[in-house]
Amino acid sequence: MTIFNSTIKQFLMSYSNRTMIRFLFLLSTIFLVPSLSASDWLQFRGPNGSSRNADSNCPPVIDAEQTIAWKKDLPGKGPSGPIVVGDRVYLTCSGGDKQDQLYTICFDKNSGEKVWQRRLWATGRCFCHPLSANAAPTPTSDGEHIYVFFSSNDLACYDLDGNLKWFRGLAYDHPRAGHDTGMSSSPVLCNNLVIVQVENQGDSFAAGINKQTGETIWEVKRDAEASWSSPLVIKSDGDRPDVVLMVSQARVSCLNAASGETIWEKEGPCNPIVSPILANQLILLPINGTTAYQIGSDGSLNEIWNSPQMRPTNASYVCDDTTIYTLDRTGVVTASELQTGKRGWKARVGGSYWSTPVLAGGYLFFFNQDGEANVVDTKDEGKVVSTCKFEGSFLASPAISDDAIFIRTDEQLMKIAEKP
Amino acid sequence: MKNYKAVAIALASAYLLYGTNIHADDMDDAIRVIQSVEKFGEGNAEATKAMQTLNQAKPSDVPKLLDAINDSNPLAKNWIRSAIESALASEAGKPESEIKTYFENKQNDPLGRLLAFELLTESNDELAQKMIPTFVEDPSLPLRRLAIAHFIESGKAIEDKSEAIKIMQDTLVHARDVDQVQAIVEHLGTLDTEIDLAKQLGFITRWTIVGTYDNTGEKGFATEYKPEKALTEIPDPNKTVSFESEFAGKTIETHTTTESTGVVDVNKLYDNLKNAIVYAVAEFNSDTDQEVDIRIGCINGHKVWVNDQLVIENDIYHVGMQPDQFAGRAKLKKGINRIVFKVCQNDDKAPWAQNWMYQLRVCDETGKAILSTDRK
Repeated sequence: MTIFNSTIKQFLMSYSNRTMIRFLFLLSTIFLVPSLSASDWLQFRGPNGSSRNADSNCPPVIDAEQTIAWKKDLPGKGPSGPIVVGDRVYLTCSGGDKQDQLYTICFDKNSGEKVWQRRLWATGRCFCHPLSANAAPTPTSDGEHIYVFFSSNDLACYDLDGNLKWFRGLAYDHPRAGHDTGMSSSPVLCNNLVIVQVENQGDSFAAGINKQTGETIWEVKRDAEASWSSPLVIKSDGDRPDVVLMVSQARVSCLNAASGETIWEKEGPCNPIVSPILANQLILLPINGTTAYQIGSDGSLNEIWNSPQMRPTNASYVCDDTTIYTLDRTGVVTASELQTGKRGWKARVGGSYWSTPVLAGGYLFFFNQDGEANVVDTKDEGKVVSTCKFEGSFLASPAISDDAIFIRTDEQLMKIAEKP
Repeated sequence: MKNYKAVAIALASAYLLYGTNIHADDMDDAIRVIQSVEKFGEGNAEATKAMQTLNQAKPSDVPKLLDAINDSNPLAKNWIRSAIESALASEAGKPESEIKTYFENKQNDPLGRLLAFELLTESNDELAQKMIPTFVEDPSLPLRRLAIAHFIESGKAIEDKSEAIKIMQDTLVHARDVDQVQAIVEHLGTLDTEIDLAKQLGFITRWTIVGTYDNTGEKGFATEYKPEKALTEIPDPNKTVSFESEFAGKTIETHTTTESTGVVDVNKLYDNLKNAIVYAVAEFNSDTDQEVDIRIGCINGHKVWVNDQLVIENDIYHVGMQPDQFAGRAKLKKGINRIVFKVCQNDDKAPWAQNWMYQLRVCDETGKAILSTDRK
């Protein structure tokens, strides 16, 4: 023991003070790093891009007085959705007359108090449609860091306490990357990469970025046409590689997530606003209406069924284990069989929608451009059980955590939950 | 073991009580590494490590970090401003005096000075309101914009007509952003004081429209039609060039747009023709050799030349249009220069994709109009 102590002492004393402090700090972080929780909502459309939290029981009746736990003002606007990591909610906004002020904000999930706020200057194109904003893509997280992305193609990584880890200006690299009505594809994570889809008429590409350093690991050219769809990662459960699915205007692609190499693609008219979904081992892609695929052992996709009539317009698919829910531009929600695509009930929710609804406890929660929150009961053929009008307009998609919904307008972030 | 524990506790306590005061050399090294970040992620691996150092900065380090913004490219500026935010969040003690010194030096970086202003006034709106009007001639355009906005708002509230006109006219001299110039000119119009907005902003309004040429399949964008080669050269006053249409319609020798921001609606000239290209040509008489900004808005595929220089090109269609949507630098020679604007229409069937139009202005880097001598 004496020899051990002596050795340890020599070890400790042989380094500079700074190094020792770093060593102790590193040790302490091991006990502070949060582990992922079932109540996390780490990306656009939440767990696996499903827009669903099967364990959550959000209040099916939304009331502006009784079920708003808190609401907080925001310094800028944006259709980006919130994400939830542990006890915190993270959100991006963009502000300034030219939409060139890029905010990342952290709120306490329970109290709504702002924990921290950071800002960047845009390095890419900030033009967008008046309805939209530079803060259009939803952030993503691996539980340890937050990865934020903006329509100006600025990409940054913060730790959970708001310290910048790295920054990239992807439009600084590619000056013609941009769409002047705004870009909105949200980033996704796969292993050690942040994957972004930057499809537009100018410099169009997709890239896999090292999530530790922001270095580009792979970059591939994409069709020079706009796409606002977000990629979807399908992790491997066997021999095939992890893949990422991307929707363009005239094709859908399946890329090797580690290398960007195209494994499979199919040409056909697509809806480049809607994002793909994986549900009960079926992948739904908005090509030729909607086509359902299963992924093979080599990463190729095998068509299972096609429904030319199933055409979600702006909102992406929502699925439970047996049913697909799609929303058209007239505010009609349709339930279809997941395994066959056969159409079931339809219900009119009303309003104009950009936001993708979320599913919890058998209820679908819709938030529309007119500021309405509408809830339908999927167990009762889409019966509308609640309508509540808020100030402002909902363009962002919500997040679910525990029994609460987090949703934002241009002006406020709010938590919808039964008041304690 | 007890000795080990004692050492560990002592060091941890020191860390917690006194923080990690970064050695000045470490900070300088870290800043240099971050200032070396370049396009395509070059330098990011090293910068990520250096950022670990800068994220330990304290408020007393903020002046050095502000200075570092001066010599940083747009990427590095964001790394450094983030370090400033983290430093100020770490503990109290914002160094107001040093931040003020940085702000007051107008040679410092415009964005750095904007940040300094925001740090000085974030909890002091009264101070902000006192400072903003003094920025009306500030070399930092983001700061100047605040002042112009202030005078537009206060000018609109003035009831005395002649006083309001004077305020607005004085503000107009210093305004640089198109939207603010538009707002001032619009308000002056309500006070019976008409300003030629297109001239105020430097929009070219008189064009010869040469055309049309084939753009079927959007292939014409890359095709060098006869006018393109002949026109994109240093103009020779002894040489007259004229071209016949090779597609549909005919060349329009003189077209003057009366739209207030110089927009030329080509659809109205060619009856909503699809799959067609025009070359819009303008002469610009410069009183000296000079470098200028060419700033355009265009909803169609386009190329812009000044004399023999290709200044702007974008093979994009129907993604919106606004003033100063695209920009490029160009060299004018003393005397006659030729501006050629190739505007390519496709045959997109979507109802929102029917427009065929463009606008172009000539200005300095701040946005102040530079006029042809025959227009001054």
